[in-house]
Amino acid sequence: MHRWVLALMAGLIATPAMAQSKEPILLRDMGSFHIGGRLIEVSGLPVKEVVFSPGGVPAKVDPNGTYQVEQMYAQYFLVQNRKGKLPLLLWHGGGLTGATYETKPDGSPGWLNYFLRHGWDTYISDAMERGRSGWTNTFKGDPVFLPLGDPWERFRVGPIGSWNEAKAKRVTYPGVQFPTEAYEQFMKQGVPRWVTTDDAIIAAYIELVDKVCPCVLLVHSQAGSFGFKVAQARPDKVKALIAVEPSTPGDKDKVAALKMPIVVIYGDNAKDHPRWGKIRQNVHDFVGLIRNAGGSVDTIDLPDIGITGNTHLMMMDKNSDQVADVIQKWLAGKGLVE
Amino acid sequence: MQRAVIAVALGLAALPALADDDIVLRGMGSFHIGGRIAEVSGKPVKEIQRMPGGPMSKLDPNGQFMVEQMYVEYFLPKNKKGKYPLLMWHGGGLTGVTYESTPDGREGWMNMFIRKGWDTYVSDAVERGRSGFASPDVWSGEPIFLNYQDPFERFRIGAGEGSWNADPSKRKLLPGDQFPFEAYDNYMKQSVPRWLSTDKAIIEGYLALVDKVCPCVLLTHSQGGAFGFLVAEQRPDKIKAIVSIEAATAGKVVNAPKLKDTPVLMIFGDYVDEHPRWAAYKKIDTEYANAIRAAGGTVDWINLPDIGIKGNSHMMMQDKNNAAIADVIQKWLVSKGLVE
Repeated sequence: MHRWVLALMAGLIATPAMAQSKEPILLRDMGSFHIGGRLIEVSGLPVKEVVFSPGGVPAKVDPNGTYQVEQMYAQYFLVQNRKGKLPLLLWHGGGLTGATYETKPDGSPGWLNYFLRHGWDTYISDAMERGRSGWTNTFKGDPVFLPLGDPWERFRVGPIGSWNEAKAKRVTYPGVQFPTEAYEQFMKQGVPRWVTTDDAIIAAYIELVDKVCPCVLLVHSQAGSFGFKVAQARPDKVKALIAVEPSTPGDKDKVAALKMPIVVIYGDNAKDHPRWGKIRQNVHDFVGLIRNAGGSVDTIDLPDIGITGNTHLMMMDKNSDQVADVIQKWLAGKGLVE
Repeated sequence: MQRAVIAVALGLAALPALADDDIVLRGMGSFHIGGRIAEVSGKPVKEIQRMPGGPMSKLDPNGQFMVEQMYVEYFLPKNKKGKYPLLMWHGGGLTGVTYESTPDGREGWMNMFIRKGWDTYVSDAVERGRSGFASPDVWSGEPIFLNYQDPFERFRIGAGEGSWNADPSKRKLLPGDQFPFEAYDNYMKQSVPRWLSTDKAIIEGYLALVDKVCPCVLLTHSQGGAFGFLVAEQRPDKIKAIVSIEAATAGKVVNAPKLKDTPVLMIFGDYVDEHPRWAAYKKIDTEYANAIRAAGGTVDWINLPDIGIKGNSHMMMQDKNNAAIADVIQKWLVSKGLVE
């Protein structure tokens, strides 16, 4: 009830999803860069002779020497008719890349295009180790590769036990918004993920923030903890934080740093889910600590404002524009839109 | 400009006038294409720690995995002038980032060709960048990682073997080299690991892309040159022209006649003949070009120094004079009737 009233006051009542405009996207610039990382030294390994292309000319590859590692890729689009007061940084979740926010698996426009059309200078990055950031064999441990069926249940397309290799036998939550016919297409976005690299990932995000902020962060899933921790490290530069289904909170000892407006959003079937119920509660406990320290956090469970069926991947769900509308209205409510 | 006039006429004062260098897109987006579902079985279940300080949890490496898909990002200019989509394929150990902003922060060929009115598709080859890579349970062989000095000596930035030095002031550059060597560190951040056992899967990914978005024009670089020719041999009706930048190996000479109706432009930079490795690639490309010509096809060949453009490295799309080379390519595309 409390949250429902809060939502009413903030004007966050669900509006019907509108298709994105067909008008041209006007950019004053677009580009990309790599940032962060460091040089490391490798020594004592034998020199290899390598033919790079079949029929090509052999080349010596000396595995010893200096290597560039742990950098991060970011791509930016600067809109001609800017309305967002600060750059908007979109950070993806575990086992994924910035492609999370681009065209959705069902081929319709995603949040990148939505926020560009709403006048935000937008930066999309691939976390250190993922996608165009590259990776190194000097990370500790092996990368994790997700089996085809894993996200179906873990990202709440269907309940536990609902995955089946046979498409016709897969079960979904009633009214699920994920485009289930494009599930395999979604799985093509998956990239391997290490479980030992959080510190290097955060270091690169901090470099990005130092380069392009003050800014607004929009983070998803694994990046929830990265977003909170980076905001704690750079509280003067992160002017607002939108945490979409954060999977873990930030540092409990540094909640006093989180004085910027924050909103935490979860989709449907999360509250009572055996795994997501715990994750959500864990994050809401963290939210309680931020509030006790004087911070301002809004929490939205989408079903409470009449938006139902959303999975963990709400930026790819069929009603992703409707969810983006909730975020856009929240940003406007915080005075971050001209 | 037209839109700005309309906006003014409608009294939409809030809409600022378009600047001459704005990029106006009728669409932009991305997709993954190709790939297959691989089955892994009989591997032991591992215990891993997913979060620092967290509990150990089981990881079963068996099951179905999506592998060998390819990532593609596209930009469609409102003022389209290229008659076909332009596909940009990068070289080995790199990604589509090759064609984005240069390491020293200037505009790259992707923006330049979008501004010239080309619907532009930039992809990451299978295994690289946003295409992801498969586990050792699916791919045999190990990836290789380039050390920091390797491309400096191999891509004709420095004067061959021994030209690198950890101290930037002691690096021996080729005279007049156009590579923005002061941003070499940023260039090296673009590198990604590369397998030597995945060519077939890479080509399958490119074929799936061609079948989706072509007829088209290919612009390829280095290792991507070989892929471009090999794909064109299999889809000669769909590839309307090929611009090959320093192809590091060509297609199959025996199949070269299949390209008899596909105009080809081969471009090489400076100091190629003096560098044993690049001279060897140039010879391979020359033999392939001759085989296309012998079958009645057209191959135009530009050694950039011959037309007064000097100092270009293997990474000419990032060199300081990259705009001049883009203009050479555009002029050739116009001459082949590929521009409205």
